[in-house]
Amino acid sequence: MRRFVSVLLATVAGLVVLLSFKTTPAKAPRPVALSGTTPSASSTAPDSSTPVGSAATSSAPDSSVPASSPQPSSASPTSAAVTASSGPSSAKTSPTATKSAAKPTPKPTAKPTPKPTPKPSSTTKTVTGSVVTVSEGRRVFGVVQVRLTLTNGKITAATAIQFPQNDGHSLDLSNYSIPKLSREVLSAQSASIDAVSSATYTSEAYAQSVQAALDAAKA
Amino acid sequence: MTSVLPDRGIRRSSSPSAPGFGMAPNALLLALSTGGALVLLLWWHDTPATLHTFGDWLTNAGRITGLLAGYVIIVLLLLMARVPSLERGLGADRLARWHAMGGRYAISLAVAHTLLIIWGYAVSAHESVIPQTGALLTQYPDVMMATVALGLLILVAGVSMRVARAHMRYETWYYLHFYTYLAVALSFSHEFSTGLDFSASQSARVLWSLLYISIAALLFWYRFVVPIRAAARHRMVVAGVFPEAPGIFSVHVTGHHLDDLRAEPGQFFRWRFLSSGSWWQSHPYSLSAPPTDRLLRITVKVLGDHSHALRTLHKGTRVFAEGPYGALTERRRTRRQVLLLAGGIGVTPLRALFETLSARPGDLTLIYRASSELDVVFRRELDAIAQWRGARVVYLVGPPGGDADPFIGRRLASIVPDLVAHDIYLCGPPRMMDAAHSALHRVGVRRRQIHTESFEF
Repeated sequence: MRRFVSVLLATVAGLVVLLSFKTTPAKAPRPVALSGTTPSASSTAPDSSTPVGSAATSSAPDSSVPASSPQPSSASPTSAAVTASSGPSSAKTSPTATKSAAKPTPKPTAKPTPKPTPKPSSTTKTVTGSVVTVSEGRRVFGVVQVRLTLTNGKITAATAIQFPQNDGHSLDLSNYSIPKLSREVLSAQSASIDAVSSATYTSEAYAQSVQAALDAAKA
Repeated sequence: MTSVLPDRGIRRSSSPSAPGFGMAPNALLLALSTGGALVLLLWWHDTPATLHTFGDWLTNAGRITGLLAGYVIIVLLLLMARVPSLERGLGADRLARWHAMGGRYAISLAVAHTLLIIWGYAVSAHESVIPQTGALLTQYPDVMMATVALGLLILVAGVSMRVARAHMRYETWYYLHFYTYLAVALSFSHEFSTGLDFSASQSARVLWSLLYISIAALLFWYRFVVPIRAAARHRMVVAGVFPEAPGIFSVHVTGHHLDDLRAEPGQFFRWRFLSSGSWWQSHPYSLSAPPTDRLLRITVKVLGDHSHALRTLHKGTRVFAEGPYGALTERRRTRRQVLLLAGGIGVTPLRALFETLSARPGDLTLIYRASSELDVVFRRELDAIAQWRGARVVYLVGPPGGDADPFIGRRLASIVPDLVAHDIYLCGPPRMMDAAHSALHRVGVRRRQIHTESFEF
């Protein structure tokens, strides 16, 4: 019995050692304004050439609720597809942030082909970002694709029309992080947002998709 | 894992003590540890060095314990697969000890895995533990099945604890163990469907499946095919049942080609007697006489329902025998002088060894410990062998703690001169074995000089 206890203790010690090797010091929420070298960026969605990925820009008079295409299918956590609309947001479109972020543009195929339809009074435009794979090393959790609604050039809604749900845990993390990311985009009015803790990869991919959508809107 | 079939077609080699390869315990331990390290490597390879929240830690600790639990359980099945090289190299007693230890370890890992995953997921999803448990059970593929598997494992572990075992029939305990197979089957699918290491990597899935399939094949082969083939070849039947003492009787078994079995004195078979009352269970009994090409003898004390049923066996009853198993043979021998230390019905394998161990007159001693004169069997045989071989046999009959108890103080050393120079073969009931171990330790006998076999279940 004593030997068994020592085996258990050795196992716990081994676990701690193993995990320590894989631990990076906890930082304050990392800004994920596209660095271009993030792991997710390196693996830009393989399916970004699919119809869904080739960002469609539609112009509708009042399309704050998009997403007729890939809709989250899970039963309870559908709340992940969050459409957050901005109140009187303080920040304006910050071209600097956009520009710095725009450098490592997603692959050409993922580049949205915008068809802006200007209207004199109030223009509401919906742009869809690229499909970005959320992965950690070789492990793929799913993809993120964000659709932005721009009213008079201001982001008024950010909806994740695809988000990681390859396994239950990813889905939980999406439920938790996507609404936050959406709110962050609305307040930042750009893709330079902070990563949500525990969901770094999703955050990075989210920012990248938002950036692609913004690029599409401007072009 | 290499396994060597006892090549049944080939004539027995002239040396009676070289049948087949026995896996050295340390080599096996090394192989098993390497396997464990590979499992950890799988996790290491799949996990980037970016854990930084508490939830990450918990979840990854849960993943590691889960992987290890899956591995340890399959190792336990391997140990129980009756692979001849393992049975020979380790011996039934060590196998049983490893199995008990590994079983506890596997349960601990599985429980830790479950709790850590629930907790870790709850922490990183910022939920409390109870809704997270519900979500895991209902929304994650195959987790419900795995939970049932965990319950079965805990059930098996519970009935294996000493306290529970004392109140349980051997048969109940034995058959409850088969739920382990069900548990392994039920837990397998969630490893692939929710396990990140497997869902991400095809080759990991393939290797893991191969591991499970090959163990399943070994189990099937050695626990079903080999016994059935052996039964067809040897066609064993009961030749007679002979009383030895009150409540103790010998069963003589005859059959064809028994020398092909290459059984050695000191070994045992798992016996299944195809009579109406006992065909569905098999029990280990040692050979109580050196095997010949015509006859195998076992000697049984009435302890449970099964041994009671054996007494009424008829001549001609068909017998399935799995074996031979056990490593309490001449090959454990490292020294010239040998002490055989028997307790009660544990005398059976030592009786066979007493006749066959090579020894010059004076080198061989048998101490036969029994609590009452009624428990002493083979007295005439033993006396005859002692006289013929110039060996010594000492009967010590009396209750533990009495004048005849050799395990008090340094009594053993005074009974057997130069005890530390002996190989000691020890077989008896658990409590007697414990007493003997500590008495031997007191007089300076090293652990590796002591060779034991216990059938404690």
